[in-house]
Amino acid sequence: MATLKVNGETVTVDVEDDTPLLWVIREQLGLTGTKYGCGIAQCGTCTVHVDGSAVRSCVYPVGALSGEEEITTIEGLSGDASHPVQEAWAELDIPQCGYCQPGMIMAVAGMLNDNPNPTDEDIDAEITNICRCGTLARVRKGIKLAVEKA
Amino acid sequence: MADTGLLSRRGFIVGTGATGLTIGILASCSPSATEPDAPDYSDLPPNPEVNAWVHIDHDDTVTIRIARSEMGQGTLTGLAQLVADELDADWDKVKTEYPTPGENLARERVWRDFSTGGSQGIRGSQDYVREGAAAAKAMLIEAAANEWGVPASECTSENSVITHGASGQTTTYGKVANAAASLAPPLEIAVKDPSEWKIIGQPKKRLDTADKLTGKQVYGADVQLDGMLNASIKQAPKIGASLASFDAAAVEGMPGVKKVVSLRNPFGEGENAVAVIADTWWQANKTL
Repeated sequence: MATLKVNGETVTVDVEDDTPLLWVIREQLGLTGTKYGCGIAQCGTCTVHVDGSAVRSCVYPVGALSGEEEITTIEGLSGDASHPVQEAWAELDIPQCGYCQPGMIMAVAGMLNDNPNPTDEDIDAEITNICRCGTLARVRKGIKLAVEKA
Repeated sequence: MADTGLLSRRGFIVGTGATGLTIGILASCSPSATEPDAPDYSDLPPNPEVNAWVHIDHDDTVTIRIARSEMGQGTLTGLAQLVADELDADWDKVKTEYPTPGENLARERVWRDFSTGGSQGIRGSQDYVREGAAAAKAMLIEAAANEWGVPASECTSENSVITHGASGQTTTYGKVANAAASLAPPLEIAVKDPSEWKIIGQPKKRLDTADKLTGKQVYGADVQLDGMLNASIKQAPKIGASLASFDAAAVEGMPGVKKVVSLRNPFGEGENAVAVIADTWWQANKTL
């Protein structure tokens, strides 16, 4: 059993402690906006926020959470696509297939929480999410637009 | 045979058309007032589709049916542009929806080929989706012309509005969609010359972006069905290799596990894979 605070709601789920947060979010809570990509913390498509910081939920065991942390998924980022990152992404039509974009958006939003005006070097270091469609050049533009909008 | 219920419903819509139109024009002239003054169509039955490609609501929302898969390549928006242009639809009121392959089968493949690949989404279907839209437009215009008692050839269409220039009458697609749906499709369909295109070829914003920013877009792995189980599979690492052994008893009783199965080798003799079936994918994969 685990008790979690997800998108502002406290929930209790019946899972083993080693269950990754990703699978609690997707299979127990039915929030399928957070995606499974590699399962080994390499691609970043499973990114969610724990207390405002981006984490890769596919390797984050639910047992490592106390229940006090604020977990935010793409569904809870703004609720109405009004977060500056979502607005920038809409304006530049960044997604193609879109599978990686919930994780991409959460990774970028997490970075901007800590570093509201990142340099290109910061972006290179922080945003290591993989997009197979190849939207990464637009993602960089989107980050800069989101900085302006924030 | 004429259905009297349908006829009386059509009569009602024809009768209320002028009032609805007036409200519509007022609303569009006064953006701040569109919400409170938006016409209320809730007591009207929903419009039927005009044809397989096009459905139009009373409020002029045009829903275009897309029979190819959007996988990031932009086909969904491109196909919608093809239909909207031939239809002379108001692009700002265009939505899309996917019919299912099952619906396609049930309707004798009215949307034709659902396969998506080889850069064929637009190339392979552009002729018949444009013809479908042109047929729908002809039916909408004919419905308006019938209502006014004028020849359809004297009517023009633009931005989902039909105009009879000689008498100055106008109506919108949403108001005639119900009547249009019961007309026979035209025998001859003329599509536009490319010089007449207004929406095709324009760099429009993608219609699929919004749902991809909020987690709302549903991918294959996101589908949830009642009573659904999940499997995780381990296959032999080489083609031709076969399964030596596995111990199902060792994992039976682990959380969520329903069954362990071996799978026939599609490349040769015997079996070459084992799968664990469980309540959740995580349980299946962990057990495997």
